[in-house]
Amino acid sequence: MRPFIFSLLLILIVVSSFAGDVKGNGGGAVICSGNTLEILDLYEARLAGYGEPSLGNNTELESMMNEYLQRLSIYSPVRAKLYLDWFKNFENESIFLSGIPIQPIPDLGSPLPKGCVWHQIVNQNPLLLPSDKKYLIDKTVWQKLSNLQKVGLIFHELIYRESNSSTSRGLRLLNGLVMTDQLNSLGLEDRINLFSDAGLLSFEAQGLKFLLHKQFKVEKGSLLYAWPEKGSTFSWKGQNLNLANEPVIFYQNSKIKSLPLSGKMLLTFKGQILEIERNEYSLTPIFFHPNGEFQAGELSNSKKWIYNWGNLNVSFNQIELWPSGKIATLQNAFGKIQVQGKYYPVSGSEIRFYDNEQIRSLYWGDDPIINLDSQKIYVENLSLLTFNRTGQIANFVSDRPGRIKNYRGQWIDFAKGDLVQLELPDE
Amino acid sequence: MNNLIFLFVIFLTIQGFAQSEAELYKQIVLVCPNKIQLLDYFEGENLRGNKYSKMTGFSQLIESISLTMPDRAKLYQVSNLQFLSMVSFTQNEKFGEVATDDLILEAPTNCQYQVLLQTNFENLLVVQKKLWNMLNPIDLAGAQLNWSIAKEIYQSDKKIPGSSVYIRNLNSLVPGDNLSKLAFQDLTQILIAARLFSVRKQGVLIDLSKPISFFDNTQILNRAYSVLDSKWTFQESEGFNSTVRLKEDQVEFYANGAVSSLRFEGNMIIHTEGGEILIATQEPIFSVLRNDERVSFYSNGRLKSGVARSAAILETPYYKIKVDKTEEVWPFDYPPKPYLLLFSDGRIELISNVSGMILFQDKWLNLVEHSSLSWYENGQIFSMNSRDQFNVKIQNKLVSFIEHAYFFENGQLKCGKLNEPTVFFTTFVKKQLFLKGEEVCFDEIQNLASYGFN
Repeated sequence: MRPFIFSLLLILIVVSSFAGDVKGNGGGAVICSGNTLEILDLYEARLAGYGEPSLGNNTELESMMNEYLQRLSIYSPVRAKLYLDWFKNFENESIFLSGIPIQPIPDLGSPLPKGCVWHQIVNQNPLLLPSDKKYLIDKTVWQKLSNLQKVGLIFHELIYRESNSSTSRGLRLLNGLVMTDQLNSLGLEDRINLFSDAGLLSFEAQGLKFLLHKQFKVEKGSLLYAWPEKGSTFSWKGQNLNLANEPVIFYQNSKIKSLPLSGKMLLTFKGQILEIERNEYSLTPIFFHPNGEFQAGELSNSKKWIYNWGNLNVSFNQIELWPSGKIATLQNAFGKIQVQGKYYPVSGSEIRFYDNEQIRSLYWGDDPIINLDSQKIYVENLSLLTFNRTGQIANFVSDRPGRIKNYRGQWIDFAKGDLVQLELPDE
Repeated sequence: MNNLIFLFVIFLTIQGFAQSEAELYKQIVLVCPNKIQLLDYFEGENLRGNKYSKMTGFSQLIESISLTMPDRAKLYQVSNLQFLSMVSFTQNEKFGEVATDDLILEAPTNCQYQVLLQTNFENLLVVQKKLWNMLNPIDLAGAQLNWSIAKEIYQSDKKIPGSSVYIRNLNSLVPGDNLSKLAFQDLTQILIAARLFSVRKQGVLIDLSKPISFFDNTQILNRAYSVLDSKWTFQESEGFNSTVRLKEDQVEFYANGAVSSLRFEGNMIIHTEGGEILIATQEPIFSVLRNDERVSFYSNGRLKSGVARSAAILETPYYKIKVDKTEEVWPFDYPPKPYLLLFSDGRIELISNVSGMILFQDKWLNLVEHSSLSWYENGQIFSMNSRDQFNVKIQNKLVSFIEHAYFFENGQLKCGKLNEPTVFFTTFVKKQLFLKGEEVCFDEIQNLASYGFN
């Protein structure tokens, strides 16, 4: 009963505190008895023990702005660039009011000390202003603010402009931490939570911008997976890869393990440029190795890709490479393969390779008889045929009973359907 | 436990008081030693930089609204009569509390906000007489208009507006030409914020509670939902209007503002060179067919395409055809619907599902049911489709074709499907036999260009 009533009370209080939100939101300052003006963000940061704000020795507005953006850009470079544009336009997008105070918007969240009062300086509600204006500013108080306080207040407004929160409590903390240069002290998970509490829709980590309302996971200080923001691109070997609305997965070393490619990616392989492109309804991402090299992906269906190397001449529609860039797997391969001097057809098989580019395995089809020196072997249709690192057949599934000498010179008797091991393949 | 219940009861009591206080809608005025002004215009001057003429009256405000929202202007004229019949005055100078959480600006030094008016929109409308008598004509008119706007919201929401911020915002834009200067997207946002969910654009009553899309990087309306059963008048030309009731569906617009396509109940009368046709849309059996059912227009306002829903006779010196009415047949739409496609000057470009006679190569040709015809802009026939055979002159003889034939702009046959084995002259083999059902195509000087079975 008690938790129920308490929850009900809480719900009612929360609903009540949102009631005044139609007016918009904005920043303001605390004015204490000594007539000192301090924006709430910095007042709260000081109260919470984050120290005094500082944006370098130069007290010019622009210099302080640059210092702020420099700190932000370490963790959120795209956002810092956006805020730079917004900051430059701030005055043009503002209406400065003289002699008419702005009605306070109760959003303090913490009690003010005795002798201090709250003064609203900015109201941000574009719907109430002409279409090119976003901020309503009390000029009388604005003029009394130091440049440091002005920069803090402007960034408060810019963060609020991006935020979808109806209260500014979370963004005041974010702003205060940047102003006091404390962002560095936070781990990745805390930093993401900070951006989330500020009502921001995205966070940046490991070179990409991710959605905060979708699932993400941080482990040991590193992002393991998250959903990229719409329109995100990943820079890889001079290409900007477009990402679809599916998760990006990382290795523990922060390198991308897989990404949801949208559109094409070019991969240079054996002198030909392959177009990696997911099929229309494919949910399989593109994979990378921990060293950042391409691992696996589907190929554009609009072209026919040919791999012509050594004893192989096949077309294929999926490819996997070793970290060294050498061929690891070809999927859906059609063409011909040379086994011990003679060509045999391949129809839709997966062909796997050793890292020395020798064939490791494939699914056999069409021609059941393989000539092995003086012996013939009969291979079961669609069975796995494996090779050793030097290109000799290691194992096969026999299509009929028989007897054969393995590479150690021993006779092996086998029945139809037996796996015949001439040599165990190297791992 | 008891303490918690006590707290809960206290809280509910406070909430209860708050609600009864909010049961009345209030209008605020700013009272200064040397002036008194409706809050709406005080905010309009300071937030938007609007300038107001003191002598503006209610009829001028209605005139301003009618430029962008004629329906709303008419509604407010009627509402104002109700205002005048309901209003009563009080001498009580302490007349209600001003709720500060509904204010944007504080009152300047030596000024204060006071309640001018309180109403429940049903049977109570009380005005503080002293303040009312001190107001300029524009503030009196503004107070009346504010009441009409709030009354419209009250009637659709069935409750007293909780805040007047956005009602004041809209009201502050009405005097002068502020409203008509607004981009349509800005206007819709202001209306939505005020909880007014309809506005007319190009005669279409748009439902603002549903998604609206604009052309990329512009404030120009692209798509919006029409209000179900709202009337829309198609002005075909001077003196020719058709009024239909729109369906609850998306209406598409051109960048120049003209309606591009929509769906409606009822019939729209179209005047072609051959006579009148009734155009209609009906609920398709499958939603994928919906686009087929839309009626589309050119950016100059003329009809572009539609489906005829009733039999009509079209007659010109070149054809006398009957448009056959067909009903939708499940699951496939066969026989074909009588599609009508017009050129941007109103002449017919294509008409399907017709029968009758057409003057073709100087002879009257009979068209069986479910035939279709299309024309070039210069009036020459572009194509002819018929289940019956028809003769076309080519290589100096009449050849029997069936199903379809296409023509060059000069009237020569371009392609057609043979109805019987026919011999044509070709460039390489002098005479060659072509079989029934074979598609033969010619160049503009009647040389055989290609052939084969499709």
